Amino acid sequence: MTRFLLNRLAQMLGVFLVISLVIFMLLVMTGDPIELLLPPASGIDQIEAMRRQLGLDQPWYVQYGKFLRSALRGDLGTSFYFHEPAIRLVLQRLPASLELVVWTMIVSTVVAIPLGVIAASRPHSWFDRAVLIGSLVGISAPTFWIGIVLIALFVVALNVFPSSGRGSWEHLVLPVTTLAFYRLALFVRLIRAGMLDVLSQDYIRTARAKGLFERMVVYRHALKNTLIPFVTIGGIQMGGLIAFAIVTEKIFAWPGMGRLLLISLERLDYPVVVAYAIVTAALFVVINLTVDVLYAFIDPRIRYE
Amino acid sequence: MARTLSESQASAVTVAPRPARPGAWAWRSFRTSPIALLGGGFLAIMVALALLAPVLAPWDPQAQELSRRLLPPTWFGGAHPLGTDGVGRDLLSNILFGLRVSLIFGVLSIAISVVLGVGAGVAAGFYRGRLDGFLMRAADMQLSLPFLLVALAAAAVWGRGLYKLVIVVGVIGWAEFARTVRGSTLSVREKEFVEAARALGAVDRRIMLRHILPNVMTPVIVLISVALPRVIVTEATLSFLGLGVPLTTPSLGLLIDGGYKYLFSGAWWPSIMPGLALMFLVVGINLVGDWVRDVLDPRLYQRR
Repeated sequence: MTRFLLNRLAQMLGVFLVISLVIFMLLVMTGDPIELLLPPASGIDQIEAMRRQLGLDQPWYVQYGKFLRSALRGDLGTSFYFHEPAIRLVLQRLPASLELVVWTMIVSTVVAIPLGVIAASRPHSWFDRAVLIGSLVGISAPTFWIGIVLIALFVVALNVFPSSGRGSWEHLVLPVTTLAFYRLALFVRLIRAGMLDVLSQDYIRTARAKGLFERMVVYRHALKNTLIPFVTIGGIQMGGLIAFAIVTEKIFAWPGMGRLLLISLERLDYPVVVAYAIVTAALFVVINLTVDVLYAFIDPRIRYE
Repeated sequence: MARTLSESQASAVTVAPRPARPGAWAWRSFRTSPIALLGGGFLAIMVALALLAPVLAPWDPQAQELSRRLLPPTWFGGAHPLGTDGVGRDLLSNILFGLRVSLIFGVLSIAISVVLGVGAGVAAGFYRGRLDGFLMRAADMQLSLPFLLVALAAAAVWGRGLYKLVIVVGVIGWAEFARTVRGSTLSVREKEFVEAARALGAVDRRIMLRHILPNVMTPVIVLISVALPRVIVTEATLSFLGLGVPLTTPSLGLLIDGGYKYLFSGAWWPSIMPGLALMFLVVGINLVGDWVRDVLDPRLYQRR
């Protein structure tokens, strides 16, 4: 297990390096932030001085080498725009984004499990059909549009929740619902399909034959085996949520790192974009490792070499 | 993780019993499945609307008329059945052309993904060795990041433009196809008919194109049914974020972005209507996709 984890970490370090290099090179190719930083009437001297000051006059590999050396010291450069360390800017906004991601995972899992289980234990009932139709709509509606529909309903028409900002639990309701819509639909489908599969197996018949309560059979015996593929998909979805949080943060003016990324992309603020990429990559390492460990925990047959 | 899933699916698919006349069998199953008929009908309507947009659209989608800003929908009858947007453009016409852009985008970028991914997957599985190691490591690396995030990064760098975005999203889509096809290729290349072809003197290229390729396409079709809706929604999402197609393109994502600032002044239709159209298109594709998966997934096929 330890060796497996170390291996995984080494692999992820490689991913880090590649991600930083690719993003760095792409950004250097994109354009020159100087024009956006200085007032339009600046003279050539000013532009050249600024370029030297930011180190943009050197070839890309020198810039990247410098970047890597300081990255090892935990310094990912200074934002051209905010004049603050880029990594600090991103980390300051990380909790707000994680708040969205974690609540979305909790809400969609907690709601999806009973819906999926009940639907699977009564296949072709009206409840099952309603769940299936609802989940079809859920996986088909674009996340950003759901957010807009929710604002139209709950902010403009009913005025029950705030439409932007962060602070109280009321602020969380709409963004989390927006993000949870798709995951909930997907999870319900997965759990329903998994439960249907498991409930037709022999050991379930055995459990019923020995006179266990149906609830015991369904929740203790069947659900447990349904959760294994669910953990993988849950991990993938949690990664995806970090991406979709960008969209949600834009709609609800949520002060997270996704909104920072959009602003920084607009301003060609490279250091912030690279810092965002590195922090995100680190999040993926944590998520993937957690999924691997959970896997071994849920299914004792799985052993890592 | 995800690989174990798709690989087990892929290898299961290649050992599937093949019906004698797959075409006739598929058509019968389509006719008798209410889900497939509903989805097929839905999809057919949306595709027809998109293809016939130039004929059906009552107005030029780009024509702005500031005296007709934010007219509410009149539904049946009236000059603007679905109303107008913030700069006085006819919403119905824009949605029709937007559907067209969504469809063209989806089909073209999936085509790129399939060509690149299947090519790389067959080559990796057939030659194995270093090529395989390199390609699969690259695919693993890319797939450890979410699709939207990779697309967003690539689109932010390459800039706006419908066809640029088609290429970016198409190229990014290669990894999933490559990994699945490689898995199937690994098992197909050990089959007797491949050995027979080689014994008859067939060159590598002929074996790959004539003998392996037709036998690894089933999981590819299943993957297309999953990837197409995702690609279409990705274009809309990127356009909504301002990182997608240029402002002059009638994209549903851009329409929603443009309409969303009028929400608070009570005009809901410029942002809700285009999203509804997008959702109907995706629902149609997903329903047909569900049926495709039911038909092609051998485990479900045997259970029936």
